[in-house]
Amino acid sequence: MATKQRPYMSDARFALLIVAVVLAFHVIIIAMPLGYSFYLSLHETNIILRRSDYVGFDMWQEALDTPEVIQATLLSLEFAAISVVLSFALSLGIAVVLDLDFPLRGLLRALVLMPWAISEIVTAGMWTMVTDPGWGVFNGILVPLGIVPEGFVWLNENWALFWLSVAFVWHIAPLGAFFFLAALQSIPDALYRAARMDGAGPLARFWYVTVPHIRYAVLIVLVVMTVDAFRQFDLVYAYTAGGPGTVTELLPLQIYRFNFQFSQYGLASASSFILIIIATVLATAYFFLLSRRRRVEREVRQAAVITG
Amino acid sequence: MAGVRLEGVTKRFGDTLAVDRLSLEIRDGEFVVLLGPSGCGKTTTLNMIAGLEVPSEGHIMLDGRRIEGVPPDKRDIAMVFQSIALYPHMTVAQNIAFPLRMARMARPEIDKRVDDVARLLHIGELLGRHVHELSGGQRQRVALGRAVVRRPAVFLFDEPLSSLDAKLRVEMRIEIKKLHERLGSTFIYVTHDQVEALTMADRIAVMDAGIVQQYGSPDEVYGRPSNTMVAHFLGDPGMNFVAGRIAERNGSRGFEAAAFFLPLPEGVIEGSGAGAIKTLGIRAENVRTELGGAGTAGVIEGRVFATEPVGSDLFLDIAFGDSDEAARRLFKVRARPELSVRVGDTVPLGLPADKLYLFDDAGRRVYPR
Repeated sequence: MATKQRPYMSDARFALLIVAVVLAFHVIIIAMPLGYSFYLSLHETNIILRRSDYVGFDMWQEALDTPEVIQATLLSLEFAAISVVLSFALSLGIAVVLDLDFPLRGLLRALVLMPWAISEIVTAGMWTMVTDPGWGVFNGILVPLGIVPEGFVWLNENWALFWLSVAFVWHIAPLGAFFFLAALQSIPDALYRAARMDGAGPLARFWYVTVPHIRYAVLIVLVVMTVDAFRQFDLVYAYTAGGPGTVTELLPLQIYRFNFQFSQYGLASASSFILIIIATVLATAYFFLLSRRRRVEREVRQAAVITG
Repeated sequence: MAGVRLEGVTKRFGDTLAVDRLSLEIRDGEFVVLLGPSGCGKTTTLNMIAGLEVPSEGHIMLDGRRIEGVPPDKRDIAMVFQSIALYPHMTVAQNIAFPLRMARMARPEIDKRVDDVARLLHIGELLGRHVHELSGGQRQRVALGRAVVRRPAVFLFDEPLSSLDAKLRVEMRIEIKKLHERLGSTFIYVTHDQVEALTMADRIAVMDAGIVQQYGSPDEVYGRPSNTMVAHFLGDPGMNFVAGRIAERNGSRGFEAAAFFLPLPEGVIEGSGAGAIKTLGIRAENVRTELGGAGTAGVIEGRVFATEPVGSDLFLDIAFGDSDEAARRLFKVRARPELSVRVGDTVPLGLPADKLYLFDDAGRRVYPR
């Protein structure tokens, strides 16, 4: 059988082929559901009458007029703010420690990543074991010591959101730590020695040597954590289920209720676009905030070239 | 301005002895090169003077006062690193100004000093640039500038030219030498490149295995090496060695090696004073391939194993005998490029008595004394 001589694929074609596969994947799992969701948000669906009527942006308007949606959005913002601040600080701290030289460092590095590998549902179960008023770890230790009263409710209406954030931080911080650790390890040791010779103390060394090197890791970590906090459903559903009352009724949970409990598909879809828009705006803001410095420096440089 | 003195300085890393009871006196304004192969302890020594490492034992004195416990930035010492180590996110001006900013110097004074340094090193037009926009040589200049701007009493250099290409290295060598002349500060320079050491240093401390093997002027360490390590490390190629012993043949005393017997004139053996001579040494440029009007040279014969023409000279790799051992221990000879020899030829080699070195069984030089 004669075989046809196959020409080598050019680099450009090969690149296109690879990109095409990824693109197809994205279209199927992201663009199509997103498009369908947008379609749903423009319709009012009645499941009993099996009707779906085009209503334009009425559902979007209704979402913005619904107090529950506004409240859930504000709670989501609060949750994200607490979570991002805590997990950012914690992950940077973990990374700085793991960057030090000590015995069994490799083992500890692997162990630290564990919480991230554990699913949100299991995380919720573990934190329930910690904060349960009757048989939780906290009360098991603190009640006998007389620090909190018998049956103290950790997930009370003032602190439930905070403990929900703590559980989320416990889960997500290791991921950030790994981004930071990778960035820290790329910093040449000679720079720290040069800075010591130049009279920079520990804080100045962190600010002038470490921080500039981890700026892009900071950007990645902020985006990942913010987006993850905003779309967090599993942990909320399994840990507090929105309670007590509605103090942890975050936007994704609210959307879930609209969709699966109240069959308000249009409203659920419209609300989910609020979520997407906020997450996108925040991610873009980080990007501009963290890359602005570069731009200023470039302008200064150009000015120096022109004038000098 | 200050001299540096090391007294019995020892540094251990765990079980490894990096520097072994090292004592060294560096005079005020002197240019001293610590020269040695990698792992000889030269960089560790420099780091201890800088304050980046703490000696396990011994004292380091700057201008007569002990500085082991003084932090690096309080020692009046600046350092230029092998990897150059400029701050990548800062401009050239910011890099040079950094040590002054850390010392909380007033802005106008900083600007003035940065300008002075930029003029001194001819980098004025680079001040607004970023590190990644500079060539290797420019980066090295900026790194020098960051050290010079502090006006320290002592400059430390940790192989600063090793990352540059050969041409630039020669250029910067002269630049650093000129800088030393202009500033008059004490320079301590670490390198494994013997050419850098010979061209720049007032005195060279040749180091090996954590110990100073010899400390002296370039002429001394090259011309009167204290042992075989120094003799081989300085010079390119290093000194030739032939193993053997003192013996008598046909009524004349001389050096007996596996492949030849070299009669030695009166006075050489007596001058060396010992019967423990084990090694004969001679430098490639002192072996004579043209024997017309020979003086006091003893003549031996060797086979040309390979030739290495380098334009200005022709290096011959001589093997004594046909064994693998002989091919491993080649004897290098520098000849005129016009010399016509082919691989495999047997050539006569003149070894002038006044260019010979003799070493004892511990590798110490016993002749000339």
